[in-house]
Amino acid sequence: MQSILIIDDDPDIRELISFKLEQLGFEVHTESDGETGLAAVMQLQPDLVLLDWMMPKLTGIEVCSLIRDGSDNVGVPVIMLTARAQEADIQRGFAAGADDYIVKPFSPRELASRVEAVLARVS
Amino acid sequence: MHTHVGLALAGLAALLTLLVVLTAVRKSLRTAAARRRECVEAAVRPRLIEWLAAERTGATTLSEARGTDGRILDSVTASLLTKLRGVDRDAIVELLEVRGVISSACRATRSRGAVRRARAAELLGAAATSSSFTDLQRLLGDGNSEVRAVAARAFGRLGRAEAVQPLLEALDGQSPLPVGLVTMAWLHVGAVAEEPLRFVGLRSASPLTRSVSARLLGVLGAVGSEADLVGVAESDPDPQAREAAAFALGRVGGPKAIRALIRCLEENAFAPLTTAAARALGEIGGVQAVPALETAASSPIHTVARAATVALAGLGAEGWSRLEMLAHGTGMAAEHAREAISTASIAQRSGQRAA
Repeated sequence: MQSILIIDDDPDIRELISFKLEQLGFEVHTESDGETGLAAVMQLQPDLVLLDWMMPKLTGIEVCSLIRDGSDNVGVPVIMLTARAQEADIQRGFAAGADDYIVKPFSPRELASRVEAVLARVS
Repeated sequence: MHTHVGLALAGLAALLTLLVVLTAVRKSLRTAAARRRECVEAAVRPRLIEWLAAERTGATTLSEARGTDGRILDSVTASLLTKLRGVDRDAIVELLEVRGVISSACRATRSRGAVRRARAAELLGAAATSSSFTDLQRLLGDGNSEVRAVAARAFGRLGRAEAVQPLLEALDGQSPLPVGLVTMAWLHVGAVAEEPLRFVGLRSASPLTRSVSARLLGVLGAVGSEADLVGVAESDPDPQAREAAAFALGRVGGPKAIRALIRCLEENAFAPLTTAAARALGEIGGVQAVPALETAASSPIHTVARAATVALAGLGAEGWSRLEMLAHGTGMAAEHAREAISTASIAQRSGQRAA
């Protein structure tokens, strides 16, 4: 079973995405801030990370850069899920190493399709 | 005498004790209510999310929740409106409609309390149902400025072309709305605002409306409005409307716009317009603008000269060579040219590093 780590400080978003992805047969873990999220990436070695941008302790951009700079799990696919919708923000997200970028408000169905597409591409 | 003072002190102490007790009771009641709310929320949220994720089976149980549970369910449901889009968001709106939350908010727009009216407008804007159009339009003329502001944002979120005209009128009405606020509302309206802005906004009798409409067409990237914007940039009687049109042409202009912008630059009648024309020429490109920009680079007005040199840096080899010639000279034009060369070089190096 493929595992997905959701790092987002909004409980509604975490719960909604978890439920949707669990239905699709994924094993889902959640974290609510950047620091514990980064630790969970190293510890759990998920198959994909869904990452919010604006979070306490470490921002999603920092987490993504640290994942890409680290030695463990450096190639894990990362999808940014954020309310920051400016062109420059999207560029920054990809420059930090994101594989895909989804703007909030989002469609859970579209998100699920993108997760599956990214995982299919990687595998 | 001593007895009276004693009695007064005793009375005061009793009053203070009563106040302390009342405060403690009030606090504990609030804490209990908050705990109850948390408990109900914890029970309601998973049901709602499960319902959403599981293709909306069992909607009836959610639509039947009443009392405190119902109120908390409505609040949790409404909070999801701004987080979702697509069919899941549509389902949330439908649930709020079935539960009577939308119609209740429409009624609340007539409430005597400004906070209630503003809250209702906020919810109606987030839900963006067509049934709330009239109520939100009425609130654009509300006596309370905060309510008007919330209503304008909400009105924009309806995303309908019909929202443009009332928002245009709100710029110049008896209780005018701030330009920034109306602009944000229009951005929420999105691409459907293009036609009303072109055919109503740019032809309005109000210079402010023409100016705001022109700027917005640029921000919205309305390429089809190039000819209209050229007309405003060339011959609008209001210099600020011309400046806004020049700004917009920098975003959406093509070859036709270049000629008009060169004329604005050479006319040199109003510094903000000349500056906007120089910037726009830099954004569009086109070597035919080089001579006019070279002349503008020697302008005694700082903003014009700076915009002209920055624009030259973006006009390919021809622009760059004129910029280098200017940089080798003396005076302010040379200083601006050197600054533009440095800035362009730094940007180029950063771009190479990012690549």
